[in-house]
Amino acid sequence: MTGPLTPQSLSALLDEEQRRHDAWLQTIRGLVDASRGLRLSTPVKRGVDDDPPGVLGSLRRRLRGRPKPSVAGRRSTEDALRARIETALAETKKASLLVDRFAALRDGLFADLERLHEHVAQANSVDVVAGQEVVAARVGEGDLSRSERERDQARQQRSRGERDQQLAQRALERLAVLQASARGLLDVTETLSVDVASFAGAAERQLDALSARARALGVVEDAASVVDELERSLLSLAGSLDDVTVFASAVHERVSAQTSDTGLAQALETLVQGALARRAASAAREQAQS
Amino acid sequence: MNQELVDVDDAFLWRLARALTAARGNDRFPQTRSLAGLARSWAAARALSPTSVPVPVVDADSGLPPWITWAALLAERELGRTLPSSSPVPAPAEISPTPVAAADSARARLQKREAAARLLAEAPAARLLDVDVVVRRVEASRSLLTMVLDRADASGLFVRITVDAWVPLNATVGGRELVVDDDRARASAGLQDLLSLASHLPAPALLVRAATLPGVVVERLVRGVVGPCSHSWGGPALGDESSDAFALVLSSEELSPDIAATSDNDVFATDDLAALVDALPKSLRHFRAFRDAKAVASPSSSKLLRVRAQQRGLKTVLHAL
Repeated sequence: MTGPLTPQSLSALLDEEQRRHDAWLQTIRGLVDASRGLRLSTPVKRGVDDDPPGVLGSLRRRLRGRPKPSVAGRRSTEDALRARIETALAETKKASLLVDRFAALRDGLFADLERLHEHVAQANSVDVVAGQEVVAARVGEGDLSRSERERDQARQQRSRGERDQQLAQRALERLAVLQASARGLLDVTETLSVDVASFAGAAERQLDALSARARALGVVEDAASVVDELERSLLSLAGSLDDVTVFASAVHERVSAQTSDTGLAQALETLVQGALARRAASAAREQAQS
Repeated sequence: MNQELVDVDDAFLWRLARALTAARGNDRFPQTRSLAGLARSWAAARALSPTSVPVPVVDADSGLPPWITWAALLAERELGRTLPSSSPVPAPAEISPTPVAAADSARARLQKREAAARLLAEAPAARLLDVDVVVRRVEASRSLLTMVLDRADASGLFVRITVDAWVPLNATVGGRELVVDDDRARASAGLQDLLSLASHLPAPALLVRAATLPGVVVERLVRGVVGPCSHSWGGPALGDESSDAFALVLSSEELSPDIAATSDNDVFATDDLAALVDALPKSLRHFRAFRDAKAVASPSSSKLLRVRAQQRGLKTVLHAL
């Protein structure tokens, strides 16, 4: 912040803060949508040159869509396994990109929160100055030894001080709301990023283990069971993530609707507690499955 | 069987890209130019974002990055193709007038990751498993197809098998004529399955297996392989102990009745081609084979290979790296 904060500049500053806050909400909405897109049960959409129309396209679609390994040959099994591994790789990559985006979002929100704290401190000082002006004006007004003109000036000063005091108080209230909202968004972001990171981390660990055995594909009979196991784990993680993204959507809607409400902090607190409970349940389920 | 992997650095990728470009692979081989482009983008993307782009490793036997690494790279490439032109996370400067080190750092990491993915998205895609089928002729009950199957072996060898073969049409294909692509694919599915499963075998063995398919008559079969690659980072030993050692091998085998006599010009071969051809069943005795190998090699490896070729009386093409 450059220069001293004045009661008159508070309104513009708060509008600017509100704009930034709305931008964060939009960002979170985008990330939630992206998280919701993480799926392992459906084939990954491929690029045009990877899955062209015609022979190749129909062949690859047919191989990918084959529910059971063909008895015609192990090659079909291996190609189906490859397609499934490629799907898992693509989803893991998407998840890890989301982790990076959440990290950027979290740090940005944290920076916003710090700046809001600074604004509050400055707005408080404005409030104090305005209050001092009012007290000084009251003293001046009550001083019978002063001339009528001086008493008029003191009355005007008191009136201006009271107006500034009210402005500063309203600004403080709005700042408190934005602070609570930013804090809530930060908590939600951290909850989501932990879950997405858990998803990506677990998927990457399993893919690492699988890649060590990649050479055995096609010659080791249990290759299919290895991939089956991988898919089951990833689907389970995707399910946990799905719980969180559904929750995050609800948060987004409520945050959007309640940004100007004074009860926002309490509502966010409830939602964040819910998120933490879901995450704990998710972790317990994952632990039970492993 | 566990795969033994050897760590290499980004310099290997640049060298591999140069070697693939210099390889001058023809249509017998998997597309080396697109692989070279991908390897170059891999190295460039690693320079941008080393944490998000796969760490280069090579298979100890092939000396090339294994299939799973190429697959991971292509997954990142695919991700890059889905990225919008600008990041959905606003830049700190757009949101916050106060520069904050932490935000800059996270944002910078994200920007580098996305830039690397976008760079990969511009690279050509490698054909890890692809098939092209062209109909040459259609008769009452069969059709002559040319099938080109490209396949990245788990160890990282890139194999292309080209087959001219008569394939029977049957009731499941839907009639006497091939009308749509699906029919064409279905008609050749058995042959394709078999070749893909056995792509690691020498061409005579592939021919024998193809001949076991009912109604399939092979007229010509070519197997081209990019790899192995011998180099100072690891991979198969060539005998060049210098720090400059590098040799990427491209070998091909062709089986056809049109070849006058079986001949072998592969300086890297460890088996007897004539013996393999002699061992073909009676029905395939009219086939002759030609095997060839060339290499892209560094000066020190070239010198060694030239001596070896002279000792065996072979004329090995060596492209300079």
